[in-house]
Amino acid sequence: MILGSNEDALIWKNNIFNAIKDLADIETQKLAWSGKHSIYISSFSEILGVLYDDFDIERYIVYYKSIFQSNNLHTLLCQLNEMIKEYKETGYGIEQKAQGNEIILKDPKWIEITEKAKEIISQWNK
Amino acid sequence: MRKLLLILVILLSFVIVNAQNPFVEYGYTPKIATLSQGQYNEFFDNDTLVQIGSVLFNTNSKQIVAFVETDTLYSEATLEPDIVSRWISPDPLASERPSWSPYNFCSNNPIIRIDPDGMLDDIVITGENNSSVTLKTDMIDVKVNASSLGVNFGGNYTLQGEDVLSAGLDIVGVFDPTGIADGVAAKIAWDNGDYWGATISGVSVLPAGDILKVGKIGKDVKTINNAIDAFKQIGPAGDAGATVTKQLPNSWIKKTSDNKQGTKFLDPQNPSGNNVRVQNGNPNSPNPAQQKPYVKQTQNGKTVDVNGKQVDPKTKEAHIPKQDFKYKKD
Repeated sequence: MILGSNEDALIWKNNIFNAIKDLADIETQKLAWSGKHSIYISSFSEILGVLYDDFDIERYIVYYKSIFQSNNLHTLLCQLNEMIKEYKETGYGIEQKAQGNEIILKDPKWIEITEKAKEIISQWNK
Repeated sequence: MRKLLLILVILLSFVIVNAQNPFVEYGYTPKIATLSQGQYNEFFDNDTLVQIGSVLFNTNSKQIVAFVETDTLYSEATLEPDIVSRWISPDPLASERPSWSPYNFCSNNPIIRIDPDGMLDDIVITGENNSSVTLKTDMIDVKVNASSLGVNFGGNYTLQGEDVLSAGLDIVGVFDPTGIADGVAAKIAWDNGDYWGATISGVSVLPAGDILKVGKIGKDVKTINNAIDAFKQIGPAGDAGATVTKQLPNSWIKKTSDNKQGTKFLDPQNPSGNNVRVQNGNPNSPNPAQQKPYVKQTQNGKTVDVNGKQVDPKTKEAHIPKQDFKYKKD
């Protein structure tokens, strides 16, 4: 049973969508991670915490496949997950250093991840 | 023209050299150690009153203000108890402990207290078989050997939280002859409305007062062992034995967070809808709300603030300071 007995799949889907949307928005990240945004605060850890800890994207990918089988969006979600998994240990290490978040935001690998997230959002909106 | 320039330079040098001689009006020219041969002002002190040897000199009025009889700044050699075991430069964390001198070392008690990392205070309790528990606190820095109580923690653990801190202070109080640990324990108990506990700890400040603690120590060891059990379950990061863990239903799943710097708690029946995540915080974060431990709570699929009101997960309000967190059921 992938879905919890009281879990609402639609709410879960919306939360995953919003978390990926935040991941895709590097301009907001530049402001929110550096404390310069007027409303939002965030960080590398926090954006991944929402995606992996709060809404468990890995379990969602398994759930998605069980409902919709393997399609283009599923492939993109898997690719995003693999790219993040490959990068996150490095990212968590960099983040602990002074100006760590700024370094991550300029890292081509992180920029690739945000581009992949953009691709998912545009696919999701179709 | 060259001669004129030379005369001007000599005159200027004379003026500068004299400007650095505070004893001119007394007709005395001391030998002044100088690196620039009088070219630059070598008073490396921005204070108006500076001490030169035994002379107290006002740099604004260029007047000698007083003659100092003893030089108390360098009296370590005298081994006066209130001066020894101090640093000669202020503690960078002095602002965190305004009641202490910024120059103190180990709260002026290097016999019983330790400061291995220069950071804020910790309590270290060692037990049998080299086991130990380090309690994170900014109230007291102390190391005691409790193996004589037959305590064995079964490993080396770092814990935090008010419950374990109170328990640890009780144990430390048995071994701490100064009574500081008992005093701190009494204050915590009083602040939490535990007036009987405060009385026991308060009386224990007295040399024979620890007799009252006999029944309490067993409970304290149990509290610490419970925290160690939680620590074993969720790893070194997060909230072992502290404010958040004890508020959440026991049935919730506990896991170390993805960044290994926190703990996540999940409702097994609705893990993506009801969850709580405790993060240790990152002191290097430019966002103050993320520098210290904070909690994110998702309730029925919505991120909520300290009052249970729905907020955007990216707002400051969504980052609840750990000490303010109160679990709200649906």
